[in-house]
Amino acid sequence: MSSELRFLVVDDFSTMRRIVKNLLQELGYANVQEADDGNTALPMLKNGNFDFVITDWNMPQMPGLELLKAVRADEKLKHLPVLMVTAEAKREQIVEAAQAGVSGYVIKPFTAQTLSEKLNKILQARKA
Amino acid sequence: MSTPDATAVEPLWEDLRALNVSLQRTLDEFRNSFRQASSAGKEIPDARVRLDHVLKLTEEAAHRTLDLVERSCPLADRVAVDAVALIEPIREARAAYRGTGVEALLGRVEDYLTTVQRDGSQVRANLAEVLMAQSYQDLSGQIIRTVIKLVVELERTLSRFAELSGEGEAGKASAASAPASDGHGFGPAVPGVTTGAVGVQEDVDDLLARMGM
Repeated sequence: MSSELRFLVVDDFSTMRRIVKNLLQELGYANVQEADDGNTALPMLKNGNFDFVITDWNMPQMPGLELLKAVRADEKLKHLPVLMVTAEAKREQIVEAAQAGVSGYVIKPFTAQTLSEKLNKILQARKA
Repeated sequence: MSTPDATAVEPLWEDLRALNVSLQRTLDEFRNSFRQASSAGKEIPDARVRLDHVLKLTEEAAHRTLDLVERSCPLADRVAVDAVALIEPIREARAAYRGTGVEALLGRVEDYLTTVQRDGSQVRANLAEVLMAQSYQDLSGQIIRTVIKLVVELERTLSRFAELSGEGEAGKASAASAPASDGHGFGPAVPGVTTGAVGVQEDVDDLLARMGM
């Protein structure tokens, strides 16, 4: 059941983590945990059975792109969906994220509908 | 080879004296300019503290707003749901009291409950917008952090100038932390500053679609 999916929301701004968490709960996903950057997120991902990662790009220590690369390089985690939700909007960055294996890319500020659409698209693609 | 007499070298000495005066004046002007820059440099740590404080204030305000949104959403939901639950019984009662004076009153109650249900749903939708609007704190915060990094770099540069010129004041400024390294991103696009950024989500989707995603 979709509501059983475990999400990890990674963002250095606690307000944005809270907003995304609220939106996920609105969509019926109550199992949401938080991390404030890639260094915090990676051990959580390795030790927990997460089904989905939503990450910012620009964070202190390990940024989102490095987290994405680390996830794709990990045998256990490499198929994990990673949705980048970020203010980074340069074309070369979006291309770089796509080449690193991002599952979806949403630029801030975003709407609840946009997040929902991208989330569903990724989940549908995984089912197919 | 004959030695030039004093009259012949006098113009050369004059030129050298003028050059020396000019050089001295330039050095003095540089020191004065640097003293002013050093004075500005003393304000820089203060500017950093102020910007950090702005970050803290906006974060607190955003969390306070989110607290109230999270508390208000269930109230709006409950008002709308309770109103809907009452509409049918009121409708049945109105039918039972048809032809009496109570029928008109129950009709007004039914209309009121319909309005409460509609307005409750609208309040709920508005609260969702208030929630999303708090993302300003993240976006403005990222821009402020970028400015803080620039301020730190300026402070570092002034310190180096201080060492080079022998002026120690700006050199006493606190040690600066490292600037943003490559790979950490550029932060939110700032109109008139950022180049090469996509405009809207549709541009991102188009770009990724062209890459087969």
